[in-house]
Amino acid sequence: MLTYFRPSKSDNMLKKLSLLSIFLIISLIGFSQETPEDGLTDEERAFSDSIATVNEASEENALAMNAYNEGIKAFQAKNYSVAIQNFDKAIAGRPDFVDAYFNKGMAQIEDGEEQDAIATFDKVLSLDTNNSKSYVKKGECYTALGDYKMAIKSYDKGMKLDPTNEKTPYAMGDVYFLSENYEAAIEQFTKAIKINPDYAYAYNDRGSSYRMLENYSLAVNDYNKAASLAPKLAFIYNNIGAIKKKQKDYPGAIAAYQKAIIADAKFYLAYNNRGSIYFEQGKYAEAEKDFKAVIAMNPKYAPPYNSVSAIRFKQEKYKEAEAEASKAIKIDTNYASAYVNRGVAREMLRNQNGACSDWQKAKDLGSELGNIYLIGNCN
Amino acid sequence: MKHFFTFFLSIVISSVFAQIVEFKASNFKDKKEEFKAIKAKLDQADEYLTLANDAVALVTNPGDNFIKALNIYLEAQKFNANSARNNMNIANCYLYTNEKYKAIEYANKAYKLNADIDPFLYFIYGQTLQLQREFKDAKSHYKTFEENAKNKYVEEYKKLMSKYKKECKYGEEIMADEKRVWVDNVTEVNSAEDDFSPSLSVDGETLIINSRRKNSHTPKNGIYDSDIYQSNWDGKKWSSPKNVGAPLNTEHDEAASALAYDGQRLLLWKTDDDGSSTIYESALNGINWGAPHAKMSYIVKKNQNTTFACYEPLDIKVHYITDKRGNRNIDFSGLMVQYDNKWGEGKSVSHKLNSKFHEESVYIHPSGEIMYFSSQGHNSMGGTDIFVSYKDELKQWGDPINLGYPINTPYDDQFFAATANGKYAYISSNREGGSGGTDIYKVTFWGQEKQVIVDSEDYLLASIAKPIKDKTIAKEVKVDQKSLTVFKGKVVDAITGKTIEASLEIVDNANGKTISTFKSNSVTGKFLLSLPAGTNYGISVKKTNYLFHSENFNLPSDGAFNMIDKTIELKNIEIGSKIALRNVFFATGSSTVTDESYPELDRLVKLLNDVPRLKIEISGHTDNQGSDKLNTKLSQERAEAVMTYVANKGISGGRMTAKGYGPSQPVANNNTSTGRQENRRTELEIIAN
Repeated sequence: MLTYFRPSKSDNMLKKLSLLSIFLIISLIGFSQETPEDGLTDEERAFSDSIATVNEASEENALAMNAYNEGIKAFQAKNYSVAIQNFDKAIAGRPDFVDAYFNKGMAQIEDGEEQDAIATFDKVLSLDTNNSKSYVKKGECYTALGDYKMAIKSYDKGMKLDPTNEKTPYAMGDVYFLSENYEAAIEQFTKAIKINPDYAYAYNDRGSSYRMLENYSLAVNDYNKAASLAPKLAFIYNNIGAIKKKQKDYPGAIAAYQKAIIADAKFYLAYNNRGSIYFEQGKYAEAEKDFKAVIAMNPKYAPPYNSVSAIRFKQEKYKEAEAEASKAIKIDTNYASAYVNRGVAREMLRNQNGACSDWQKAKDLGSELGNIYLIGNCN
Repeated sequence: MKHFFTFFLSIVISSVFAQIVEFKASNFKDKKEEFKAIKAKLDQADEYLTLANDAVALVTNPGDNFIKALNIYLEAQKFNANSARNNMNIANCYLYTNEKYKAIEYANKAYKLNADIDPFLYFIYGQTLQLQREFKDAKSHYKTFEENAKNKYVEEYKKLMSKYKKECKYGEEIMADEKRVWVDNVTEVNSAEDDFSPSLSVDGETLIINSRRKNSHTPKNGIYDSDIYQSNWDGKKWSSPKNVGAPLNTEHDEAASALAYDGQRLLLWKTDDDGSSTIYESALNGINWGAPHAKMSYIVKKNQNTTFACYEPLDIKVHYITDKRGNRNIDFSGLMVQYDNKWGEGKSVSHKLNSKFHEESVYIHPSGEIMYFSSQGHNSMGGTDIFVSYKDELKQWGDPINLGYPINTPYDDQFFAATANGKYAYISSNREGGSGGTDIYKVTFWGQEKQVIVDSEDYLLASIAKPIKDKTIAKEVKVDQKSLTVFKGKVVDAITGKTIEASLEIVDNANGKTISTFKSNSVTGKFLLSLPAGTNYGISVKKTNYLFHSENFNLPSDGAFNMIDKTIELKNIEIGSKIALRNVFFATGSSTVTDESYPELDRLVKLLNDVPRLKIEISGHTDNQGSDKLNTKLSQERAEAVMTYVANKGISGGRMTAKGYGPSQPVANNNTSTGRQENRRTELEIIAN
């Protein structure tokens, strides 16, 4: 949320001073013949100088305000680099313009310049030490940069300054989740729920934390609560489906994915995941229909191509399996699973060198299965 | 219409029968003399065939009687190709050669010409059907033979008939469980003649085969003697096999049967002067195989032929094939350490593995826990099949397991040499579709069915609108083979990089037990062995005048197979030893050390760092071209330049002296350009250690 400019009391005062200065200039011209040299008394001259200074400041201030508002417009038009330029102009006009700094930081985040954004939020904090929002934003930047330690530190400070904002412990919970400390994540999500008992996101994410700890019953409880609070959020049903799949309750999983699709017919992950269940059940035609639906909805999403590759492998159509996995790799060159699948297809096509180089790549990308195939099959 | 059909049928029948021309004088009235000559030969051939078939019925060696008979029958075939009997006899002979597939064509023809020419044809034809994996039809023809042949023959072939019928039953079972492998003809090593008994180094890079391909010797019955050939893996394919020559190959039969796991020794068998065969061993001297010597004492070889043999990892036993008890069986003989390193008398390896029929080859996997052997018995699907046996918890060999189709076929599938990772193996087979005779085939094991991945992703975190993969890994994949590591490498001089023949000892650090002692190759400096993983090993390397080298290394057991390639650098520190630094170069006519010299000089720095008490003299030498004075000056400057480089790397100047000798100490003749090149050198001499 950007901070918009609103005229303040001090700005009204500036307007009054401007009017007074115009009046004084007119008066001074009228009485010029009666005064020695410039016709002003020392007192009048001092007053005139101060008015001139104020006028100058007022002009700069007006420019700063304009630039600031232009920045907001650019931000809203998602033209972030222009927004940053305008906020910089505003800051140049008013170096203590806290809101311009804050908004600049926001634009930098959107522009993917998290490192710069951190420096900007630090500037905000140097001007306003109690700006809890800046700590939260810094936390987000550190999260995006993968520096979870610093992210937690920032959220912690933000939370101390404003313990009533449920979004801070929630964001901190996400950081703990990403750093695979699921117990700590649960603690933070619980804090967020205490502040706002209707916080559907917090229930969902706490459910996901329980899921990672393989405590599936608590996970389902949380997901169900989240779904009751926000019945239109498809991903919550999708998460329920994932748990059912893990528990090998395939009909239960398919029903959950169905609910996700009803909630949002464009929620492609539900189709993808339902397809994965059909695949496990050996229902390749149904699986392929779902994967193809995902591709139609999101042609830049790599997994369904790789899944079609897996189907082709099972159908012993190895050439097609290789081609489908290659499509997935073209979309995402770091997609380890696609290298595993293509390697397996290539092996059956008697291209052992190709298979081994794919498994090597999969291993380098962190695939355990790729490593196993590499050790067992390649020199 | 009816009349037309009858007419047509009569023409067809008469034309078929018109083709049958048996070897009877009445059929060759116009070629009386030629017939007479060929008939006499045929009578001789029939005698050979009877002898050969009798031997087969008794499960003994038919010798070359089938070949002798076949050559005559083929000659007669040229004279008259339409004798059902001659076609049957040719098929009969081919069934016991390495070109069994040729029997199919002749058996088919005989059967078409006159299926009832002799009840024996049902037996022959049944065998050709079996070769084609038509097991049901084959069984029915064996039955017809039993029903129609004279009791005498039925009785004579009772044992074989029972075996063949069982083979058909096993064949049906085996075909129902096809194995996940590819079997490919290794065309680059095979010839039109017999190529057989592949043996492999554990790193899979050296292949030794035997071949009856054309050589400079005189063929016997059209067949050349067997020689030993070597081929090397170039990363993509095998090099063209090279005859290893004398002293291994002679004009008699010799056949390699096992390459030691380190590739440095070879077991082979040779035909002795008395016609019997004996197991010999040859050692690799650098790049040449040494003269073979009898591997085991003659205690092992009383009244028996010993042929294919193999090593085992502990290197104290030899498993070998012998015909001591009539059949060829697998025996083993152990080295009797307590009796002056003499070999003990051979013993049957196990009643579970030795069958009533012939066993033909034996191979012990580098783990020592798995034996592969070939046999005509057990549940073979025909001919010789390859079997595997695993050691049980009491270290006894377990029941043999048929390796299945397509490794095995109803043809003769024999020998087995595997890479240490178990992914590939080499076998021999005379199956149809090869280059001729027996061929070498490569088996590629697919392993367990591989999982393919279908990813599901979820929005696990509501605020992060990005699919997140659950990192929970799918089921583990079972690794097929025991964990083995191939440990290979070479020993080199730390300074010159030249290869060294050194003594190596591998010790299990947990119990101090010596696992292996061996020497690196005298020419290549290479060594190779396989070790069980999951152990901490110590390696010590010794060579006279060199600093003793030892280190320890862990072989993790996390994977199925690993290959460690290590270069061991030995440091020559004998006082007075001079080492020419052949890779130190200077700019022409100057003492500026060029960049290419740095690796060698850095090795010198490392040596001086590693052995702090070492003191050296660095000397410069020139040839005799030009002024002595200038040469001496240049050599002094160059020696000093080398010393400066080494000193700049932190070596105290007090440990080095630099001396320019000019042309005064030549090591070669200055009259030749190569000699002069030898003389232009930088040298170091150890002056204190």
